[in-house]
Amino acid sequence: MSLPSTILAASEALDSKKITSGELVDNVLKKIDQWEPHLNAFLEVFNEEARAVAQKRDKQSDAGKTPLHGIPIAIKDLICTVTGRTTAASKILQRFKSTYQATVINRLEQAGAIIIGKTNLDEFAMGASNEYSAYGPVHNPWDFTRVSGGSSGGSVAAVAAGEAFAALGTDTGGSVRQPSAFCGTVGLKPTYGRISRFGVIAYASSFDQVGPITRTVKDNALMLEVLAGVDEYDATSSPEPVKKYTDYCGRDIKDMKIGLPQEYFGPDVDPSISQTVRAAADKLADLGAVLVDISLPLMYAAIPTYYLLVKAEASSNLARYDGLRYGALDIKTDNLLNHYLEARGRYFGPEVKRSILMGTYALSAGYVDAWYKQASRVRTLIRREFEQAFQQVDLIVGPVTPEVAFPIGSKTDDPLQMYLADLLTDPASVAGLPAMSVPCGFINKLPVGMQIIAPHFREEKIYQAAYAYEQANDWWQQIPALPEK
Amino acid sequence: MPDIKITPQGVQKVAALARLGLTEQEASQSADDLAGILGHFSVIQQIDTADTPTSDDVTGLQNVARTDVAQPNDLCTPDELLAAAPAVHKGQVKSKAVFS
Repeated sequence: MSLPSTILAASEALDSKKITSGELVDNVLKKIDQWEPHLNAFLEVFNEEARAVAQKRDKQSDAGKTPLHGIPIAIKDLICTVTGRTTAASKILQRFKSTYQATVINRLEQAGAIIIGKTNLDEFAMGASNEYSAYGPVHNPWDFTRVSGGSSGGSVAAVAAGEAFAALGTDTGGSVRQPSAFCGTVGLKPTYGRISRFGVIAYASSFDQVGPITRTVKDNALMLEVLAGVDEYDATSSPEPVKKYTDYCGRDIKDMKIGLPQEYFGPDVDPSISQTVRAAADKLADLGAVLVDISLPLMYAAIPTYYLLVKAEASSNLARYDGLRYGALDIKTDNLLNHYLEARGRYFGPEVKRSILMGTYALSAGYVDAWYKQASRVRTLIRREFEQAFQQVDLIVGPVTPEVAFPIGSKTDDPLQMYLADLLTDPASVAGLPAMSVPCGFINKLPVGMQIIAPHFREEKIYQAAYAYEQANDWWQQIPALPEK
Repeated sequence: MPDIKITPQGVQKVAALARLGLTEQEASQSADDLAGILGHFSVIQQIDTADTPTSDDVTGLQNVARTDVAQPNDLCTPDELLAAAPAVHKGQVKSKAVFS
């Protein structure tokens, strides 16, 4: 039989005894062997541990089988696991072994999943290309000379290349959506608070969200059903009831109102991207949706608003890395202050240092009103602008990225250019809205993503529209070619 | 784009507040980078926010609290936490002296 490539197909094959979980794990490990010399998507692979769990899963009886029974899943190395290390792709955490697991890992394991390994990312999730990892960039499976996108580049490349059936990423300002667009996977940033952040290393606490990355929309809906819900360990997790998202995959989208903001198709967006996404929107109209031209005039302010707030929060969150806790470092100093200065100076990478400096500056006496507080007020205005738009439409659609995956090395010397890569993903993050990247075509053999944004806690509408679109096309069936040895 | 002036000395002052050791070369590069980035970001200062509150929460959660009682050790034990510390003395994490 041909090997399944989606969670649902693998579950079906497991149920009908056409394959075992052990075989799924072996196949995934084989793909990791073949792809990793080209991709660098994984920081650690749990060969033995995954095989042992698969054996256990294969011995369990069919009764009470859980939704992710026996499915190998990869985890962004920003999320704490008790197996292996958790490094955030930083040298400062190179020896950190977590004493407990994130709630999302416990939920995956309770659902029967097998954690196959930890994936590469931009250091502390700060970046849009995965080039700021202390352990080397992730290469795009469609073209090894190009970036995977970031910061969840390893998770996304792993799913695109079939090294895992699904992966967890985190999205602060586009870190699930942007690499998903670059690599051709389905990536969701849920509503702020939809998924517990407990045990997830904090970047910017009022933005961070864990997000599922999959090959298909329905797999993604299944993952969200497992992951979502209130958690007593995360006070910002929402008590809003979790819906059966998979039930919305297959419902028609007749008369659904879809807003196309003119600012998402502006001069800073590559015309070929705008065309591709407009064609995808037209397809939604063919399926019964009603397209409505809208405007979000404050979109130009989203990047400054986002970065000022995020870097301020990061400077505070990263104060805990003092070189004493979270794994010993090789530092010999005579006093505590010098220990801090040396640990943070030597073991943080350039973008992390830039973030701490910018955030500390924006929060310092004399500047806090002009920068941090002003950004927080503009955040309120941007939220209101989206609220008004959603009085007119059910969903908002636009591109995920202003361009396709860019060449490795082309933006690393210019931090502002790297920030501008978030142009189309920051607005939904600033407003805490759920948003998805769904594959919608190729330009020069590189994937393009369509972004679908919904009001707070209306992820089911995203799945409804994304599934209808996906099933009317075959983009998801196209996979990058396995490189020859 | 307004001119934002940030000097390497100014960067070192911020770095000291953040307990971040920087080389002279890093301070000089950071001064240029931050001036460029903040110059670009200063567009938000033209936006009228006189009557706008700050965004302290984006989804409307309020007054989230739990009762102030010790939680059971279902995540990990105090011994496991201490084992992860670089040095321990009588059940406490040991560090260098804060005051000399």
